[in-house]
Amino acid sequence: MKVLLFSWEYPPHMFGGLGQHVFDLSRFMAKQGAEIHIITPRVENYPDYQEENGVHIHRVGSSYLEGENFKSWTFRFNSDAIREAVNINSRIGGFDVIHAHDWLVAYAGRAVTKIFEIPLVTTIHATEHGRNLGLHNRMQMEINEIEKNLALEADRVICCSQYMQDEITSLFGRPRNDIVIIPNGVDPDVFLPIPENSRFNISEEDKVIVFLGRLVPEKGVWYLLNSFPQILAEVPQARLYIGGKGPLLAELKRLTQKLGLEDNVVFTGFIYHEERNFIYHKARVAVFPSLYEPFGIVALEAMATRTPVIVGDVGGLADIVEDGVTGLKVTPANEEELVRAITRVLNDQILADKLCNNASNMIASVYNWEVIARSTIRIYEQALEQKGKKLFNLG
Amino acid sequence: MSSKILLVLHSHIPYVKRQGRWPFGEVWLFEAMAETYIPLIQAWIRLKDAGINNSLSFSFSPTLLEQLKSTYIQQEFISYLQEREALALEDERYYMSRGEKDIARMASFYRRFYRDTRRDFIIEFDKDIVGAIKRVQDKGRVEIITTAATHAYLPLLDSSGLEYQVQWGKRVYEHYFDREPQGFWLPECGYFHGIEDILIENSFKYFYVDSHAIEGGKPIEVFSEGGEETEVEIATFARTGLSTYRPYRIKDKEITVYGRNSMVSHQVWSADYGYPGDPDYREFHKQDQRSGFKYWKVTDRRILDGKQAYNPDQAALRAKQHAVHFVKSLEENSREARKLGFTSPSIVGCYDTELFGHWWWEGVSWLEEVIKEIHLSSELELALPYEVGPAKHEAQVFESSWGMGGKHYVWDNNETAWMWEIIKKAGKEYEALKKFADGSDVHRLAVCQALKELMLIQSSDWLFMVSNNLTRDYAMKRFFEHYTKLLRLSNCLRSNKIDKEFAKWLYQIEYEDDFFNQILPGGLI
Repeated sequence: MKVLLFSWEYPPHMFGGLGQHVFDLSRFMAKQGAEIHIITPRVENYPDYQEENGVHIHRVGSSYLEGENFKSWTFRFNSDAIREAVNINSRIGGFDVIHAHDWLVAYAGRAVTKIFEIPLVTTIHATEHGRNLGLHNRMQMEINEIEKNLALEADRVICCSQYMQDEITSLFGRPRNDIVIIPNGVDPDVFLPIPENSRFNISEEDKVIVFLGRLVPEKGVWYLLNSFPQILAEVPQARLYIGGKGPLLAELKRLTQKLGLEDNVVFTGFIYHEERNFIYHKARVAVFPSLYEPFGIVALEAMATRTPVIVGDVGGLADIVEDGVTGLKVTPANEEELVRAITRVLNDQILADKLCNNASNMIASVYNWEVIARSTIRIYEQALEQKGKKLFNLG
Repeated sequence: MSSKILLVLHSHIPYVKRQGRWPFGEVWLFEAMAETYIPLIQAWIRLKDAGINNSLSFSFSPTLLEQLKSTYIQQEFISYLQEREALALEDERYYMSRGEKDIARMASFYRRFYRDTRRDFIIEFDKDIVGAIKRVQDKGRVEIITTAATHAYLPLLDSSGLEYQVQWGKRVYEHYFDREPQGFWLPECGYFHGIEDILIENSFKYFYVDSHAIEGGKPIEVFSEGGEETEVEIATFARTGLSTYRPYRIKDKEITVYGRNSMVSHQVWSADYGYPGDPDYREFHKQDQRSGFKYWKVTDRRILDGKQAYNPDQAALRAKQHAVHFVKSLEENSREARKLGFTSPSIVGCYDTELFGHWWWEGVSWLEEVIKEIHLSSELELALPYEVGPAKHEAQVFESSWGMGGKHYVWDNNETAWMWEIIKKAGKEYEALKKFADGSDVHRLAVCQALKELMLIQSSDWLFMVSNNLTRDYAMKRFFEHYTKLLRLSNCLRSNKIDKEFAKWLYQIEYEDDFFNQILPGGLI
């Protein structure tokens, strides 16, 4: 099976969870014998072609520069991606399937599959409507339109949660039966390495609460910070680590000052790999009180590090966590529930251990990249079969 | 001496054949055929039979000609008319049963309209609208002119692209009309210094520009559908002291340019005080939820709610009144010109043909009345370009268009800059392929097809739709698909993968994008 993936994120070109997803999906599919090619934007100091983990990486176009017109850049990238796809397709004797990840590569995916009569599979990772809790300007409406046409034209649509399946059906009108849910995965091995000397100084008495994510309103981090004085009142050794960057950072820092929490709250900035592992390693609980979350990969990552999780009862997070079994759930934006859940986990070691064990077992069986890669290849086969029948009937 | 009125109608529909039907695609063409081209040609035949001077310059884009000539489109159009007739009948019964007599009466009108159009199309036109236009030209005072092959926006095109657009505009015309075209319609009146050289090389005698291109000053803004978040760049033009009341010879060149008269254009186009917005005219934007038919009058063009039922008699009366008013304005305009010292001024009115009938439902009747009124006027006379020229005075013309802002903004802005990059890349791609045309028949056919895909990429329509955020996804999809086809052709030619599978695919896309077919293989440039 020869597969082409279009993705605008791929390591080291990373913005959100998309790049990690495509990275893991592709290497695990390659492991299972599929020939995987990825077309992604150029990155400075990285080669135009590279084979890594059995995956063929093709980098085209220009890397995105801050301040550039994003839409123009995206469509130009699509045109370069098409050119590359045409060339590779002829070199390798034809792709069996093309897999487009999100709207940014929609036109490349649609055009190449149409002109070469190749089945198109798409993964809709999130929607513009969901990300912005509605559509508020021309750009958002345009993106919504592109997502809709991608979702309607693809032979098969993949999404990561029940929640996203509902959203795609109600927003775009694609019947539920055409949309397959394949969860995101997590690879526990990635979380093992820990730095010898961390830049963070965490003492044994500290009871660390960690939040990781983009600092945007939809992640609910503001409520976590605002409720922290109540947590401190019950658990004086509590320390809050906020990891990530985003437009909300300044406001969060102001709030920290206002509440007089400078000694108890640490803003780590964007952290990944070993430093992230270190914080998880020390943390007593990871909290993701999101208001909108298509999937919630961070919760799985925390589970993979054997950290108990508390999540907002919303979107994909609600699917992942079974309340009281693999984690605790709270009503989004409800500080009272948040305080109660956090103090419970910090004070009840038996509960914390139980949540960790259950979560860790679930990761190994459900959110396992080998299983996910296998399911994805199965979708490719179905799309191929379906397309073959359609062409046969037309011919 | 009376003033000469030069009427120019420019007709164009992008190449939509076999590229979707509804809501985007072939239905655009069918609507224009049923609501504009057929009624307009019938009106012109009536005028001629009544002995009325119906002089008209009539531009047809090659993409439109090719589609009108296609037997596939002709058959599909008949099915479309049948479907509309059946839908109208359903509406008629539905509204009758609900006691909404005004709407039911209008539905009944539509039923008869589509029935009669089908009959006329089959019997009177022999399914061939182009043939009918040709007869109107051969036997009357109508001069058909041509335009860029796929209606590319010329001022921003590279030099080889320009040549293809102009040459193929000419060749397709000659193929269908058995004569050399005299005039060239610059798509969107898009003019730049140098385009006249290519027109002269192809023996064109004249072309048209917007008024500010000649007179300078503030451009009239025709298309007012700007995106709310985009800032229009309004170009400024120095006053030249020249006038559109006379044609000019381009300085040191043997070609004549006619400038649009701004008053005449504004009166018809303006959203604020143009005729089409009259409360009695049929409302274009409100459609019946079930059938898509339009049963309401404008009522108040600022609001979409509370539209009243359309009354055809009232509207017809308004159209007549507006025609009388328009011809009075023409007379005033011509007196004004005389005061300025023009003894026999010419007044040039240029319009998109589809405005009449399709956008402005009463437009064809209005136009017919205007022609009759001009015929009765002692001060005015309809004329053809050669009756006004050759120009005695010279002029230099500003780089310009009739689009918003007066220059290239509508087709060249933040939203479309990336498209121009691809258009240029596609042009280079094709140039590198031309050498393969000397190979086998399949090679030659592949190069021909690559030229077609290139010209389709160059269509101004995609840029316009993306700029105005209208049917944007359709435009982008088409744009990327033609580009992908060109790249696939190019890849196979360059890597010499000219096998059976390629040939099969080639015949398939030749079938999809099948224009210029009879003339292309022998006349490849």
